[in-house]
Amino acid sequence: MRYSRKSANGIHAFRRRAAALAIGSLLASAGTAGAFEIDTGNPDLSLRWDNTIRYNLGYRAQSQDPAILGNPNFDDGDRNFSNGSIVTNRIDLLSEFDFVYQRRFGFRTSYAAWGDAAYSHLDNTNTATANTLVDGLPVAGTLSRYTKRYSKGPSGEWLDAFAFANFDAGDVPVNVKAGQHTVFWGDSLLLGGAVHSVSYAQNALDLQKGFTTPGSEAKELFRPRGGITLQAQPTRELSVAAQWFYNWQAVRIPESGSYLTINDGLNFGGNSAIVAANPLFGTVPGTPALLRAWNMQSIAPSRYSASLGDFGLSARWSPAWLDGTLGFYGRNTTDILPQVLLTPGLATTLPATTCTAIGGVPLGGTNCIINQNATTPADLAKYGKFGTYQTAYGDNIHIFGVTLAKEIAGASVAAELSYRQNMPLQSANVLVVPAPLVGAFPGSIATTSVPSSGTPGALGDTVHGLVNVIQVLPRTALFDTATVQGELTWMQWAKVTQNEAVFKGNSTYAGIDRVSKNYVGLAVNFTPTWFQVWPGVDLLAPMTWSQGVSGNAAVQLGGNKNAGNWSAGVAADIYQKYRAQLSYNGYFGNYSTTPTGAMNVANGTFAALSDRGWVSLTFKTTF
Amino acid sequence: MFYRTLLAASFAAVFSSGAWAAVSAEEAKQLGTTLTPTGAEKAGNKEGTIPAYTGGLTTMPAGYQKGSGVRTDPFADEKPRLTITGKDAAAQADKLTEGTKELLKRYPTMRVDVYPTHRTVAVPQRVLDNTAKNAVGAKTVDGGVALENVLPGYPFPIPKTGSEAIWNHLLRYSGLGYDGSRYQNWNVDAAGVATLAVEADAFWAWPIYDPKRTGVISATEPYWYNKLLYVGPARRNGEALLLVDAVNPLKQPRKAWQYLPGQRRVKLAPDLAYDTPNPGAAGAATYDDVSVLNGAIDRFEWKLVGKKEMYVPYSSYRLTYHKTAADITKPNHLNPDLVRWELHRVWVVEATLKPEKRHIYSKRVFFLDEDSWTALASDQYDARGQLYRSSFAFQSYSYDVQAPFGDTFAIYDFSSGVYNISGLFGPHNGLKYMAELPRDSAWSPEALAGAGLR
Repeated sequence: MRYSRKSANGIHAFRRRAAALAIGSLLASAGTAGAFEIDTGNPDLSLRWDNTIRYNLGYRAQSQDPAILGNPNFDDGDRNFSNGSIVTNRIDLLSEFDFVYQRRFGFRTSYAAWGDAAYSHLDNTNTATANTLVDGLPVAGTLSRYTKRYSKGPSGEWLDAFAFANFDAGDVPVNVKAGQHTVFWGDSLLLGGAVHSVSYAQNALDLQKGFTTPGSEAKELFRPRGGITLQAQPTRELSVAAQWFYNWQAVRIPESGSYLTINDGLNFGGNSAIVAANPLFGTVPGTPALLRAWNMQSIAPSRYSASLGDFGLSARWSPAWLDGTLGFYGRNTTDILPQVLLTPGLATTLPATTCTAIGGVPLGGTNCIINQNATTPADLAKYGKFGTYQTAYGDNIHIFGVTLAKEIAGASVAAELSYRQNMPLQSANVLVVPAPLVGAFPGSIATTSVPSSGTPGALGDTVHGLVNVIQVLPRTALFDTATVQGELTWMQWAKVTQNEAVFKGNSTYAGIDRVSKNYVGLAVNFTPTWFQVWPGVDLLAPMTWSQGVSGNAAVQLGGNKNAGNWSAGVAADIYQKYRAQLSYNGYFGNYSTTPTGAMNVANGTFAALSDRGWVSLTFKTTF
Repeated sequence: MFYRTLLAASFAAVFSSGAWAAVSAEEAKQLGTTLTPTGAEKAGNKEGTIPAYTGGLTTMPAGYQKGSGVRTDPFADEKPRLTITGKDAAAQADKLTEGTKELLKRYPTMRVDVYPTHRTVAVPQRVLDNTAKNAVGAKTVDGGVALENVLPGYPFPIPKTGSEAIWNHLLRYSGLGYDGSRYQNWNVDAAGVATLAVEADAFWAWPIYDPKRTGVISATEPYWYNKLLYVGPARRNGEALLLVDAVNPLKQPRKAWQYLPGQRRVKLAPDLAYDTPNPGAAGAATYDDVSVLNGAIDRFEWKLVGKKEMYVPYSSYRLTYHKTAADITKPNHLNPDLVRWELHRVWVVEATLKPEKRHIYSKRVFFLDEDSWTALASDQYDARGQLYRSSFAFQSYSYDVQAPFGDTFAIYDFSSGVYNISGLFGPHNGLKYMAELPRDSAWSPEALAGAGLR
């Protein structure tokens, strides 16, 4: 390529341009326009293969909080990455392949692969509080198999894999997609809004990627799901859609042991939950200092099932008088976030006579093995196994909602209002105990009554609303242009329809994360842009802020007061092809403490991550 | 007495309710006689460098394959009759736009090759018939920013005001629509590096020009449907945009929807208009710079300065249909070998920012082709009155469908040294037009969502 030197407009400008020339020639020759468009010679046939590569380097900028380290169920991820360590050194590859015939039929498939060298070495040496088990015993600084796959890799998975067809049924255009795909309904904007949207649980979210990999595309965060989506447009103003699923997946969270571990015991990568001090510690050689419940098979739909019962119907109507779009939705869905059942095997306050009376095994004093399926005297002695726990996913959740999208004062504004029934609510663990003990523990269920589907935790009716705004700002003295996105979310629990005893909003629950009747959250993204700061380079300053403003939401991940996350940084967009970004990511929230100063209860997920602030450097390109 | 009645008549015009008096039936008779049916001067010029109008280009050139989207240059064998470089600019100053002069001044590599003038424009008879009716019937209202009683055709073939002239550009006839042809937009930065800004399939339509549609057009009726399916740059593959512009953007603002890959739904986009920077142009253009001018005109006062003979890009087949973009996107300016200039009569329309309004351009001067009313060039001035940017439209007559094409356009930003060239159809299969409009539901955001692949 030839470049011309601009006539000198000043030494500084010349130097800047000369420097840019050098970088420019390197990058410009490295990437040509366009992806791999496979030329078949047939104009009706289009084959396209795109690859996006992203590299993330992150280091820990905030010191470990002793209070969080003091809670054995929240410390593993924190301890695995000491102050100033590299928390991610990850390469992600997203490969997409489209086959389209006459713009009407075809299939699409995409594959994601990753590997993170930061997980090759972990700093945690505190075996006593480690939740990861190897052969039943805690090991510090090790990842469970599941966590290792998704946090460390190298590994990969298929995302999209579906066929599609566009055809006319009479005069009505119809579009069908069948296979593993994502179609996200409603008008929510940011991830916080997705929790309170009519579209909740329509697709599982990959929060592990979303929390830890800034710059993830939306198309990677909505986990494709097996099903059939049909959309038809009977008139210009009306379109209808129906969706039916045969595949279910849970939300993917930052798993136990990863830097942003939400809870050491969750989810599929969590091996155990620490329950109490081990009374046998010191008397039995080799027994762990702390008792653990072991993670058991979750109560969840099977991954593929023709009778899953998840489906949805929608109608979107854009009458001329409205100058906007109204959406109407009705859905039946399984939850993507779990509640927890805890099955104790050991009771420490049961006299021997009562113990034998309920069919348990007395151990001496007031210790009793009440449930031999949960633990045995041998397991207790060898592993400190207290019992088991399992996750359960609510099913048959009904969601009805209305949405509105309209332009107001030049901004794109959308609003949603929805009502849910059978919605799992924030609950304390549901205890699973022998039938004679059920009366002693409010909200508990008998070992013989564990359901095979759904969840025995608190369920209820909830109302959700959100309003969001997108606006693009023209030039001001501060920036060339800027994008503003804001989303206000609100929810209210209307009534509890199952197991109010474990509901964290009942009259007796007094934790810091006590659910309030109403919750309001706010999230704002602001990204000013400066064009051509150097030739070929646009600069951006992406800033985000999200937090609960008032109250604690009654649903999981719904938001908590004064809990949230934020990020700020600078990014360079080079030749519309390469993107580099340097950002600080922070988390905040309140937690209650024990008399010894350890974190007791976190008010919201981000509160337990409030010492995890980190700096990330990201490079991304698509070719 | 004669003067008094004339004075009284002019006072009456000024104090009438904002709608300027339409052209008299007498004046309108000029259409077809001394004026062409679209309102241009039929005769050639004195020097013979502009020929008389003889009905436009009615034959297809040899070498053009019927049905092909790549239109061969009917004047491929011609040689420039005049070449202008920086040193000749002063001698030709009155025939060059300020932007052209600035380019000639800055870059020794810049050159204006002037070829023989051909008045190629011809539009279907029904458009001409409506234009004749519009001459007496159409009027602007609300201070020039709205229209009344306009049939699908050029609204003001004999314009009296700047607003009327610019409405001819805004409602110009460009055919029925583009049928998903693939085009490229490129940015060339100050260091001379060319970057692909957009590669997309363009589904464009002008429904008011549907032959089946007769009757007066209404303010809120859609004028322009723009559906773009992005295929490049690679990171944008799968995105889509739907834009609907009404005849009067003040009564019915632009509506835009963006298709979000990965979620497969559409989100209503905010008002992408006026001087909001067009991100696809590396900040070198605003949204209303597209096609030299589009959208609402209410922020400016419009003055019809007069008519001039100027060198403007014309019959730009070689640019629009050139196979390799890299040949076009040279550092600093488009490759002069591929830009054909001709001498044409253009209307000069000046827009001045109203004191109470906001826009980054304080003044814009437009040069409208007398034959097709397309804005062929414009000069944009910043708040200090300095030349800030200049645009050019590269018009070529699509002889197989009887429609002028003017959606290859470039903008030069003189402060950043960036230029953008949009609407190159050569790298793919050229430009194909719609034979008829698709059904109405094809232009709805839900159709965009349903058809979304990524």
